[in-house]
Amino acid sequence: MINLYRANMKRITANFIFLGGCIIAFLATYIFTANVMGMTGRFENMGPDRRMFFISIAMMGFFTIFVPLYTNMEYRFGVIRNKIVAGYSQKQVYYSHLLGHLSVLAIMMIFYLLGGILGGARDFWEIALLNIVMFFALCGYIATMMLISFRILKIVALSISAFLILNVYYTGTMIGNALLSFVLKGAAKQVGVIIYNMTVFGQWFSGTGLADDYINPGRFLQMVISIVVTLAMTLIATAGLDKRDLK
Amino acid sequence: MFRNLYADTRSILLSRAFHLALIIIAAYQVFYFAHIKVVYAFIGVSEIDADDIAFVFVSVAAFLVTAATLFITDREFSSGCIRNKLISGVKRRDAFLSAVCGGMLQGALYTVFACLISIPFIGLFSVGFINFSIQEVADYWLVVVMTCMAIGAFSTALVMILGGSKLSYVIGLLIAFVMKVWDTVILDKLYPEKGFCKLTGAKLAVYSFVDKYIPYSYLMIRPHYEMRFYVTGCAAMIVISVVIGLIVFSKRELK
Repeated sequence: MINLYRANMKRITANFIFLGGCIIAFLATYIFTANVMGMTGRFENMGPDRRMFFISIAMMGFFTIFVPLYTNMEYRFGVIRNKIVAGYSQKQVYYSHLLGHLSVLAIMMIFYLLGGILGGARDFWEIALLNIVMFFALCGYIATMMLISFRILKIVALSISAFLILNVYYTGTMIGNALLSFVLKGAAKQVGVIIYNMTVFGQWFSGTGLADDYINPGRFLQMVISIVVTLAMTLIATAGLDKRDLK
Repeated sequence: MFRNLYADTRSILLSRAFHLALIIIAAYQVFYFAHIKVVYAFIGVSEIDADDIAFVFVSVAAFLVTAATLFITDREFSSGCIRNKLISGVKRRDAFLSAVCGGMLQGALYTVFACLISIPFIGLFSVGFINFSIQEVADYWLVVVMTCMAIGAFSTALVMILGGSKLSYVIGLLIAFVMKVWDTVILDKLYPEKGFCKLTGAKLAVYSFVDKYIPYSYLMIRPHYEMRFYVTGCAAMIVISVVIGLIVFSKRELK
């Protein structure tokens, strides 16, 4: 398992999409946080700390592309088959990939934090808290992407599914905003807030300061929700995985 | 050209992906209607306006047309169909134009199907249109048909240009998603709920251009310009896709 993880990390860190993503994460965060483009209005009023957090959602877009493409490439090139032939189980391969992608997320967040701090973000506690929440939320999202990447082996269907999830999360958050504002009341609203925070978009929206306060159930609860989502996705992804035949 | 077009059209109409897309459109209409019904029950409203359930397809049109054309066109590459066509003497130009026509046909068929599916829902479960006249409804569907044809042509051209590379799997879907998010921002700035538009200069010009001439934005809000702007935007997108696609596709090495 450790060997699989090491091999994964070696391949991922040499992947040009990942390297490009890290450079973009650094540059985009710096440019946005320092307001190099001279944006006015809402973005100017946000201040560097919130602007830095605002751009963090781009990582969601990156992992929508990277996780399915990279994992499917491993299937197509026979890397996963070779690992299984070498005696590893499909679950071990899955866990090594999941850990690999979570490590990639941590590395990318370091580039993002570096860009933000150099760009002028200063409020340490706010940065730390919001980005820890975002890290867990993205872990849940990566686990979701891993689920479809291990279950859908046809690359076109996988890409469409990944973007479908991205679209559903985005549209769901927009609809959620309207429902929580105008429709849901009492207990239904509480349930709505939990469902709303199950997506990265929901948690990100509550951290940007653009949404109303009631969509935020508390940072700790947001982290718990993200961990539950991650565990649920991992359970679904690994259920019966070892019994599956690989072509 | 026409034999090729006939073969492509037949292949599209018989493909499982095409049938699946039609099923998804119908299922989404049912799901959306149920969703609206539940929301209305929560706020204590029993009657549904046709305005709320007539244009359900529009919100998913860009993604669905892009995904369907990607799936069907990519199959041509992965199954070696394009290569076989070229080997058997079909000109590259004809193969490309035929594929683009297929993409446009898909866009049109999905929209017409969505329109037909919405009619029984409007007739059976709504109290009629409140904010639309019949002519406006017809205009709206016409704009959506043209837009989906333009997106179908653009998406197919992209796959033909990038066919076989990893980029082809994500670029069309990414553009559809980014345009959706960007158009939300543009609409918020151009037509704010409170107050008036505060944009000036280059930003106003760019946002107005996107709102007026980029077909993806036609799916975000009901038509509010004269028809000639929508025709121009869609025609421009098709022409640009075809011209750039023909130049690139005729020179690229096929894998």
